[in-house]
Amino acid sequence: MSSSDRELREAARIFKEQQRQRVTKRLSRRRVLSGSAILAAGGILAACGGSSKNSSSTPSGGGSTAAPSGSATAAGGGGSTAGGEIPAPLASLEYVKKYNWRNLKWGGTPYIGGTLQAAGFPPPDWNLMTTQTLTQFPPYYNGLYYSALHAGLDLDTAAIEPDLVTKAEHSDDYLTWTFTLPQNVYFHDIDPVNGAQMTSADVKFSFERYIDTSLWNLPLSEVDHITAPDPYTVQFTLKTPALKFPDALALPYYQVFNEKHYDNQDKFKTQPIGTGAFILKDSKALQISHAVRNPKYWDTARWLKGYENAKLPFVDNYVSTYYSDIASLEAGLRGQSVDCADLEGQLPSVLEDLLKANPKLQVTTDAEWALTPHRVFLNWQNKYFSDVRVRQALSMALDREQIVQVALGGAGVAASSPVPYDQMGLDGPPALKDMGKYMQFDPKGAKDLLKQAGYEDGFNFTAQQASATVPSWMTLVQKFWKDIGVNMKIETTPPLGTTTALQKGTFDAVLSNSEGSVLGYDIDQVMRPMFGVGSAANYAKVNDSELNTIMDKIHSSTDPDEWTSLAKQAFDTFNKNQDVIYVHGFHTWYAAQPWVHTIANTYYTTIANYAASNYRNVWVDDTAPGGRGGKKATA
Amino acid sequence: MTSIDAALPAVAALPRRQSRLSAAWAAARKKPLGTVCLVVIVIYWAMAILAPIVSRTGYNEPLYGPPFHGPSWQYWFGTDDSGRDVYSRVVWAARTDLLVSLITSVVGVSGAVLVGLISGYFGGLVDMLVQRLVDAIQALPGLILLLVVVAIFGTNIAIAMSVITILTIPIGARIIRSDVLQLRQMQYVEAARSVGAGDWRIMTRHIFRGVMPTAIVLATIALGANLLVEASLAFLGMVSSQYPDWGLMLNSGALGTMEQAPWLAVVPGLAITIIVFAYSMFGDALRDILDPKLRGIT
Repeated sequence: MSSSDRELREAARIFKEQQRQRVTKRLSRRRVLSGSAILAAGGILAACGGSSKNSSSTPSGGGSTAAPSGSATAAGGGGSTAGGEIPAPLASLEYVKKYNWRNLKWGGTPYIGGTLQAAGFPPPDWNLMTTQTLTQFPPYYNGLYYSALHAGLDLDTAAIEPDLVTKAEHSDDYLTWTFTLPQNVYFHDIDPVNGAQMTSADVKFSFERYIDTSLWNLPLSEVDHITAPDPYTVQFTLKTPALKFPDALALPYYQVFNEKHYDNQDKFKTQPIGTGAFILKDSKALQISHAVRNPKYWDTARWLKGYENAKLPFVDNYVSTYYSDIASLEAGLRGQSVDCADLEGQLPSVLEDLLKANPKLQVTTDAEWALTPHRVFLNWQNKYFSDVRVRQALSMALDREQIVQVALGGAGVAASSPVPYDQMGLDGPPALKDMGKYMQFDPKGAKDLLKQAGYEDGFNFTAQQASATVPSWMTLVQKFWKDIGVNMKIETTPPLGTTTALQKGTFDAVLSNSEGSVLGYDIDQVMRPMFGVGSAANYAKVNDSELNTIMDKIHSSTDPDEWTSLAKQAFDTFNKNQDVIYVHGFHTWYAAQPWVHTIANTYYTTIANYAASNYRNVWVDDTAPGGRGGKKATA
Repeated sequence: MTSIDAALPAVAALPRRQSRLSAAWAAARKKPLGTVCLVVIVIYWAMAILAPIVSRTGYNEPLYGPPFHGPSWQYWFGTDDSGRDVYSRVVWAARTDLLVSLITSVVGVSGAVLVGLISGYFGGLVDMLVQRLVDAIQALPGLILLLVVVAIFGTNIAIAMSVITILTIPIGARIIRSDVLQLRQMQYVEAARSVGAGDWRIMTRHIFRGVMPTAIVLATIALGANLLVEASLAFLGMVSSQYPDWGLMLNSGALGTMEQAPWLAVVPGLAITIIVFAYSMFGDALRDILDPKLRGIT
């Protein structure tokens, strides 16, 4: 074992820093040349301010690794904004600049107790192996890692942090990962587990079940075997090297449970029994769930300056209520019965209307929800779409910037790809003009390509989509393709219809809001299953040899710099070959009442989705209505 | 001496038969609300049939105007999320909704007449079997059945139309049957039978004509009811069509942008309300006019 997880993250941070410095140098040179020395100095200062990002690798429990490598957050007192400059590519996005997570007050004096009333999605059952709605489970369990959301983090990244890990080590070849577990973690005191201590045997048992039973086992497919050499050490041996294995472990699919719990399947499906911050008291599917504080929860607010020893969770009660439509959710936010809600897919004007009614509402957004862009899966087994010229023509026919303006009200990015920008060492989404000629709007070029492909007069095909009504972006795609003679008939299928069609390959094209997403926090997790030959999740039957070669290199890469370079290559190749047509990425919106603290969204997710472990870090202050706020903590 | 003409006054005292036009005028004066509703229905049908002429754009022309533009002289009913002209889409949607309600009502009521005729005329075991089947279908909650069928077979509008048609049959069949039970006892039916007319002839030539007024009223009411059912299904997202449909328009307007762009929900909502109301009131008026009991003839 040579290197720890912290070192890995430090390497990534250094790389980012180098990238930023390169930008700074370019900026300075231009400005010196233009004779604006003062402006140049200002630019440098601004850029330096922007470098205050933090790639935290705070260990869990009382581990031996170091404290976070710098903090962007001034915690304590009444809290303060995260500060730092918004990176230029993000600052150029109107709504990201206006509703940036940096503008929120982070840290400050926490409040203990009270009730958090979140908009959520109580699932049909609590079976970790089969449920489709795993985002509700983390408040009751812990994983080895998690996507964190609290003061002191860079939320323009996935912000992965250790959860049940105090120390992580890997072999030089990245084939063996060893994790040390905390010794003060206990399961909920519920039969049949009855408050047993969590040990490496539980981790081993849980992950073995995820590998052999879970619907979500794909990201663990490279695990060869797991051992538990002692009660607080667990070792994963992989079939191929995995530079970013912790990223896979951070997926909310993988929560640690106890063997006795699993053996009692009735209980396993109806009652979460984990080591999490909350204990579920009752739950009605798609209606409401009530949870209370776990009095024996093991973790503290290690990230909160001055309150590092404060026991988590902060709130006594966590209520999750399902709102089936946006109108009732908005009414809840206005009427103050909803403390926080994910407002995915809403137009900015909806958020601004909400803000008019409730000006203190904390609204945040990020450039795009990295992993759920709007895209069109074109089946490569269809004679038209197996021809790269046709795919390129269809891409060039799209005026993506206009689609973003009309369909998203400007709240999105035209430049979308399966390679999240942070994977390429960038601070924000690349400009559309930098994405190659086949991403540019050029209807004449598109028609020329169709002519070369032998379809001068265009062609007709049917595309499936699953929304109740055809979303605006699909209507616009249809219009732009019609303009070059390609007539797409849009057929609406039942909600799971497109997913089934994608899985069976029985489609010409699928217009996807989120279907078929292969989620993960790194490019290897996202791209290989989705575009790899033979992968069950390669719905479009993509067979791009150029891309395959790059993906293979990424898969076996153990050098962070090389990884970043390969990510860029994958990005360029994908844009050239248009394996799947990415139309745009949309901003994610999250809204929280002013009395709710430590809540926002990250580039990758929101607390209502993959960052659901973070409800333990949220507090409700005493301005909450109905006396349901907590009491001010003492340092 | 008695003149033959002396027997004639009784005949001469019979009221003169009205021309159809004057009968219609009299009916219109007697039922002003029904008349107004008929005018609304005629306008609606004309709008649907002449959609390519009456509308300002095709049924799916994005970027006609800016998205979410409110009603104005330029965009009478505003624009939607893709910048499509809502007025034009409402006009085109009238065509979809008319087609759906017309087909389901005509086919459904025709089926009801057939079933009602057979059941009521033959009676006995045939009547019992048919009526139990009708009972069974009627026992199923219509909307739930539709939701189940759509969930299983998909949201294609043809599937929804088939189920709506099937659900139309038992309601009408029961009413038609009760008419047939009365009609088959009438003297003219007995007379036809006594001169050797067969069952088929009696049913088609004598009883069928007798139930026609009821069938027309049923069809008129079914037009509105079926339009409402289809719109409800579309509103629930259980019907898909590449053509605009008031229910689908209402769905996207009401669920997504009710506060931001209320016209997107209000316009199709009003269209559904007005047309269903018109069908219902016109059906009532028609029943009053066609039903001999209500006319005071019997």
